[in-house]
Amino acid sequence: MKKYILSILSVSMITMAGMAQTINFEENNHKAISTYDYWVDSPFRTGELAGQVEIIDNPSPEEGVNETAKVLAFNRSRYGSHLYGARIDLQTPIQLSSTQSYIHVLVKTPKKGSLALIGLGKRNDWPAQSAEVFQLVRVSTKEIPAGKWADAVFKISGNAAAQLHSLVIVPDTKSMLPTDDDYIVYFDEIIHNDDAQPRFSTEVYPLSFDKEQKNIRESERKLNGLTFTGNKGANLTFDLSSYKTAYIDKIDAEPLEVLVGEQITAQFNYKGDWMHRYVYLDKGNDGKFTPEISGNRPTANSDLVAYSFLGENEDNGYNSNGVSASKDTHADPPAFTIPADMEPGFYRIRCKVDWNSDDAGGNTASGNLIINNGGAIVDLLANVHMENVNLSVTARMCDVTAADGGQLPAQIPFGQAFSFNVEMDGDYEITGLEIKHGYNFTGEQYVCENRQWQVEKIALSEDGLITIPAEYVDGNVSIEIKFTNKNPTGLSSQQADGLNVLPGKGNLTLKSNSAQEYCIVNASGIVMDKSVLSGEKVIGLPSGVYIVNGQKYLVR
Amino acid sequence: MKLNFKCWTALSMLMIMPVCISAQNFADQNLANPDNTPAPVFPVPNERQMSWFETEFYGFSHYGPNTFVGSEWGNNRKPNAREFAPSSVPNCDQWVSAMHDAGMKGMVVICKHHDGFCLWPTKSTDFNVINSAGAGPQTDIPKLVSEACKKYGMKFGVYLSPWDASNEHYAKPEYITDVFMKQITELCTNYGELFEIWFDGANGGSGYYGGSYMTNRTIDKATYYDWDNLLDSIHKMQPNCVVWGREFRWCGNEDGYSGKTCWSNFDIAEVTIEGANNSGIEDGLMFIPSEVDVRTTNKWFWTSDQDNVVKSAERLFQIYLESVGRNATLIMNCAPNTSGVLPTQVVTSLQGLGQLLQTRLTNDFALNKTVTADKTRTPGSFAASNITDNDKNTYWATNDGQKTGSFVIDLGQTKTIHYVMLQEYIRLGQRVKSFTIETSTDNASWTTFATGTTIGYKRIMAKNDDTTSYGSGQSARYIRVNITDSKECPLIHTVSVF
Repeated sequence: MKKYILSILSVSMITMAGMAQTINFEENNHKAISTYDYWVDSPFRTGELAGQVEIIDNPSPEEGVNETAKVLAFNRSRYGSHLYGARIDLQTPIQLSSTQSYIHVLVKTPKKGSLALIGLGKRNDWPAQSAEVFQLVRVSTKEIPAGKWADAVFKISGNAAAQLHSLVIVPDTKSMLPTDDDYIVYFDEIIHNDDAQPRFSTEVYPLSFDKEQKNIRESERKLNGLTFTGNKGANLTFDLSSYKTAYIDKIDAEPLEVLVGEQITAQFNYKGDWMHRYVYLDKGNDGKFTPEISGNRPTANSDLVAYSFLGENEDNGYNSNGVSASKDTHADPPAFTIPADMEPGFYRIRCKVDWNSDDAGGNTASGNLIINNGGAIVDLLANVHMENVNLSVTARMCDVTAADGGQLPAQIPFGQAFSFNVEMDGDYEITGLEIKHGYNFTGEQYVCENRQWQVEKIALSEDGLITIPAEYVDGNVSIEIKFTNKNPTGLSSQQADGLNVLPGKGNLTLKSNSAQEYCIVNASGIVMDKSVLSGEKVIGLPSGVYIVNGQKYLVR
Repeated sequence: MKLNFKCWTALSMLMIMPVCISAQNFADQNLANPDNTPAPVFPVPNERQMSWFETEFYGFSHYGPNTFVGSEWGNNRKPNAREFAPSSVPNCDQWVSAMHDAGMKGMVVICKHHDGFCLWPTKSTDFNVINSAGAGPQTDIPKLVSEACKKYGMKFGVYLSPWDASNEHYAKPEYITDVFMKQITELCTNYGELFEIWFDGANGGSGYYGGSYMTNRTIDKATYYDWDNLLDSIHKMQPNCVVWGREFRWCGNEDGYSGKTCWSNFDIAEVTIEGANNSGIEDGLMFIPSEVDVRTTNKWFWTSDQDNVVKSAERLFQIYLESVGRNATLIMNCAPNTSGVLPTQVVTSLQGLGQLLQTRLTNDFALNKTVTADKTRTPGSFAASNITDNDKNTYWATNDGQKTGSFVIDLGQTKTIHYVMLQEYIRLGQRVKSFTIETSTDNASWTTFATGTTIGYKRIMAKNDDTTSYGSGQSARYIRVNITDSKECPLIHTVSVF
């Protein structure tokens, strides 16, 4: 990216003399790095916690985007506010002006969303003023995708007497709610210029229209549902009748679970005439759907895998089986097959209702715009899996064995609960499990905005036979046993005031020295028990994960 | 299978190393939370804003040269300090006394309106009381009002128009540093503690600007005044003073109502855009709550014809319900006349309002009554009884992730109720998105009393949220409040029943 940035800078220097400066963390071209939280009671302000930020080797250089050796790593702590970020003190202050200019920051974050820029500084005509004064906060002009380098752009302006002496890059402006996890964000190549456009495009799975676009022909043409069925058990239905927009995002919904080699049929519940149906599968997980048609059929590499009608003109079309089709067909596309050699993972599927177009973003022909024709696009994820998934366990200060006492298996069946034994060493007691499940453990959590893995944290108070639920076996599984030193007094650390929950075999034991309300909810959200407890109560429960007053517990 | 620890560790390393998401591993950080205090839902108010919210209802006084010439802005007259010609020093004690009787807890006084005339002996311009007529030179309005506020136990605030249609420097940088900032400094340092400084959205336009004829000057509202640096300077002089446009916002109308949905969350850019002022922005980045401004007559400055169109006490009470009762504060303008006093008709309406507030919203049937909730946060001190304990620092809460919850207040006996007042513990962020209130005489059969969306600092619900009349009320012994949606676990510190 260096060359590209230099070319940007050369343009900027011509157009806005004195404006351009680059902070790239390769050289000592910044004054200092630290963290900043706008929230006055933040533990990072009160001194309870120290902000975590550091210049490190670039952990994921990307050819043509960011190949530099060093980047700024920032730990976005769960204890910070929604305006907590990495602070970079500038060697040369940025002069504000009522004319808009732009600050660009290369960002790599595990969470997609909008970033914010906070400017700290002072007036240059008030010499006694501190340079710590809040000057502005701006949200990035576009959302930033997860898991890849992107250029966040911030539009800035201000009083001509004011200067920015420090920039604070806030990774996630939507993090207003409490979160459980910290995450690391990387920043690099900060420049200030007059260019509003990002240094490179980052959009994945582009659409030919705005995501918020309403279906303007809802009364006569509307996609009300989708159903997928497979010959090896795949089954998923979406009721889409309540959506008003032409684009429907089901990425965070339940994925379509398909076995490699499985044949899948997609049924479109579409109200209206004269429209054709298309199914895409991004087999390369590269952020785009590339159609490849040969002999009126999709090739093995094609991301367009099924369609009801496609032709050079609307009077001469075929479906994806290569069979001649009528342009006024109401048929669903023929079935398609997940390649037998496909790497297990989460992949993007796109279903589209459109008029004779292989463009996954929607027909852009002036007379047949997808929006004008009442078309629709739905994105979802497919969990392409094998019969069995890989298992790994990290266990310190304990023995871990299979449920029957034997050696742990290297693989376990997909989609089934898994049991194993943990026996802690004498001086330690188990506190819980951290279970990472999915795919691509060695890579980013998101690949082209498709989540590949996630982490669950479950509290435990006793070792022994443990069962993790089937929903955590949706891909490879990595389990880490969490533990602590035993209290030398012999008193459990949980015997403090309040409700103490001890998950056991087929039960939860609740203890409280004073009247405490409790509510036990199972993984489906059903309330299993709720009451007020003073003393001790053992509640029998089937094995599974339960949430007791907000905390997850595992009943074995 | 008994694993040797060293072997297992090595094996673990092989399995774990590749799953690291980055080359950077910062040390885990943990904060103890022995009280199980809910995590904030951002943004959250600062101490100044909390104190300001608790002021709730305060007065406003438009008084100056416009009073004597019968105009509202005064930008269309060539500056003439002698237009301000009170026959005697204004009776600011009477202003503040009448406001106090209305139930107000503070007052914000006009120190300079758009005409640029300064109602105190400022050194920033000659266009001030020193060069006025009559008793004008002996008049220092902020001094008189601040002393009266102190006497009546009221908070004191100032209004200073950023737009100055008479100043020659207006729209130039030197106006900010050599005029406006000097005026702010004088007001912030010479008159005791301020709780609020009010600027104004009216900015630029035609005026004399030190010349002999009218010209037009415009400014960039977003950048010209350099609000953030002014705010910093103000807070250094007045650390407890909230600043217009950054720490509170205009409600978006001058008719005296806030949106039924009213978030204190807002965005700085919206302060100048003014498109979302009435309802706020649910996901706004900043905590900038709403202030409702309204006139007791039809004009901001007094004119003789306004004495006959003074709003009734009932109407003012309705405005109170639709502002303080909808997560905003209320600033109510009471314009003194040329004699330097509030007209009798205004004083009468204010007294009537004070009586209505006293009789309708002070006898809390729920105070110290029994409350039971369907869920309560544990462990910790979050019992439902906190809702009626008259302590703003205690609150009922649910567990993390529980975004709904219900509680029932037993009034002990059947009462005729007109209003249910709810308050969130907003120090940890505004949360509630929707709620319902039901009543019952037997704790078995329930009738819907009202439904609402946001609560915030305070929400006062009349039956069916109808504020137009006091009505005949509803018989009830039990009040059930159902929080039906919330950003995170709801935190309710007080529910009062009147």
